[in-house]
Amino acid sequence: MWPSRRGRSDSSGAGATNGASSIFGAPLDVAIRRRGSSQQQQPAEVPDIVRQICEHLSKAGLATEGLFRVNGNNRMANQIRRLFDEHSVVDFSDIHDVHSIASVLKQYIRELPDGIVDSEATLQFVQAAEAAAGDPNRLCRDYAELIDRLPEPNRKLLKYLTEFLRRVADRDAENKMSPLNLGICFGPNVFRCGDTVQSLKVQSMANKIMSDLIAHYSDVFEPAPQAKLPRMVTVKECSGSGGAGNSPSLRRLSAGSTGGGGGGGHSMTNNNSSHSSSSESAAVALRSGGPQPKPRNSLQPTLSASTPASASAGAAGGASMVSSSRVSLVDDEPSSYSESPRFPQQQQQQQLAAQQQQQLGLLQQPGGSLSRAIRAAVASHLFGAAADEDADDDGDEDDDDVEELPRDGGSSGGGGGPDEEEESERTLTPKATPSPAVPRLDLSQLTAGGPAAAATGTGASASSAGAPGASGSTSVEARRSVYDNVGSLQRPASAGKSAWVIGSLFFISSRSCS
Amino acid sequence: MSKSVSKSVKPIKIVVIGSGGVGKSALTLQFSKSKFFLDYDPTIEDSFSKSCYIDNEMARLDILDTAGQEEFTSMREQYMRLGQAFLVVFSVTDRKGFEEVDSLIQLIYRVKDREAFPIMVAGNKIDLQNDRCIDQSLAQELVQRHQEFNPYCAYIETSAKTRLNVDLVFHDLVRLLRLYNAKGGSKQAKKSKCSLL
Repeated sequence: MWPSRRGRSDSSGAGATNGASSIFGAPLDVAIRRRGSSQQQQPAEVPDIVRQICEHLSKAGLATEGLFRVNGNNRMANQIRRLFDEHSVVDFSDIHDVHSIASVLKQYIRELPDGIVDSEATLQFVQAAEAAAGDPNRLCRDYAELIDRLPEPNRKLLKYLTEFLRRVADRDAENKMSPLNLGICFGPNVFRCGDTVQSLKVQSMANKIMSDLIAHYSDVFEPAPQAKLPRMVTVKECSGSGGAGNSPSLRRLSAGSTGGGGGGGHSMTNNNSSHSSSSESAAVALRSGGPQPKPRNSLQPTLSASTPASASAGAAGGASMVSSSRVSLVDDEPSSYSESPRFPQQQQQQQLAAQQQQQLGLLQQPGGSLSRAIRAAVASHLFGAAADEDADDDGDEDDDDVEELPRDGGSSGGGGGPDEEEESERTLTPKATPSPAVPRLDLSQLTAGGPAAAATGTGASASSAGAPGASGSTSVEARRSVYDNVGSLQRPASAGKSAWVIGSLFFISSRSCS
Repeated sequence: MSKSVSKSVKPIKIVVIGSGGVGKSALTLQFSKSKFFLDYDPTIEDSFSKSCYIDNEMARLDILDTAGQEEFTSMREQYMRLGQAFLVVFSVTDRKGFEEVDSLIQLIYRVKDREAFPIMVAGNKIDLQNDRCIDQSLAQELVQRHQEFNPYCAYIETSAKTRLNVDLVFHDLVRLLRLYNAKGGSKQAKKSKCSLL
């Protein structure tokens, strides 16, 4: 393999070789503490180099055609890099080539050890983008959730950069750099997509995500004040009613936090009266703006999903999440599934599927995270069928278990609010059930990712609350049956491999004996 | 006849490279679709196919239009390995793009492990005479330096906007490739031949 160009420019770049003194390639949290000696008190919001370049380009470069698209002069860029390594404040007055300066900014971001958004978070962004394709509201909300979960320096840098790019894009009549163009130029720098073949697809999604972030900057980074509600509460927007403020039920749900009707009045869907008219009203969701970093590993990889619960799957982990996913499961989007099969039993199947999916994932030693996500989707698609049959056998027993789970999570995570919410739901759910028969999860009605995504949303909570005993037997059964299905793909390879290993061991041992 | 058809049907893989915003896509689209697109979208990777008669011989061109931005250089060597002929584009209004031409040609030699390879250098945007900063002589000089050891290298000035020399630049590249193949260049010009055999 030839050394990549980037690698060469690294080594030729001044000071890049001695990483200790170079700004380039230094971790972000080191970079923000590295300031001029005069202002040592506290870390900067963003690295000085980013701020200086953005401020200079704001003054001198916004009207330049092809800013960030046209490559800078390599030599000039190296010179600027050297200036930044040697001086804390760089005077751009005799550097007239804005493209080279822009190049240095891109190089700096590209050379951050983990990028602004590391590879793990990039995958989550891509999954969120795939899941929420075509729904800008949800997209912004999901992006905001994921951005909230980034480490603080990264989040601030991303916000700063996107805000700057937003200003570049505002003048695209002059500089021809629309959000789309900027997204293509910055996607590979901001996101880390790996170097595999699959990463090409991830890369193009990452570019699109970057474009979205720039285009919807204010929606993603500066949401309206309504953002003080619990993390994700599905509400319906009543067409026509304006400025009604909060409905009592909404206020009850938000449990003391302040809320404001941003775009017209909202009424909760979490009661039966609005449920009936839900087909006309568009579902929107509010999210809380307060940064509440959650453990990242609580999010399982999901593929494209169409069920409402996947909206929360993109941001699973908290107790309020669990309950809000239930809200949307019961109430939301009934038009596409008019038979309304979304009831606790179904959810329980999905939880089962999620658990088993996790177990399967452990069993099979996933290779790359992408392939793991794909495998998980395939597995849970099959699981859906398997869990479905199980639910028929001992549906009643498991029903209780499922009721246990979210309640558990709700009391441990949230204050008084989530409990109340649970209450209203539990009273609601049986009423909405049209028939006592256990509804079956009809795979044909769901797209491939549907059950997987829905399942992971609740799956995380299932594992955190401790696996219920009763579902243990079904999980084994389901796993077995899924293994029969998946096995046609997986087993021959692994069986062959183990046979090969045993064979070679035999060979070695026989050789050593003789 | 049947023989010549089956021979000509084999596509020729042409890779278009060059700095960002110099008009690689404009050139490719003008050639393959006979249109000048005013879009300013940076390309990540596009491919086009076009069949035409060049010197009374059928040629099917698979043209790979690539990204000029340095962010995408990781893909560069992959498609360079696949290319049979290269169109290196720069803009006569952009000095930096021109400065990249030489390093790109060097990279082709390295990736292909050859000292000679069919490479066409195109000086694009010559309709913008007022903004021109790269003289024809400057570009000729560069190409002549390469021609000393790579006879399959040439320079043509183009304008994707006015369609000046657009067909010529692709056709001449195919001619260079044919010449190269006829001379057995692909076998002879290997840089490091194994001396043991």
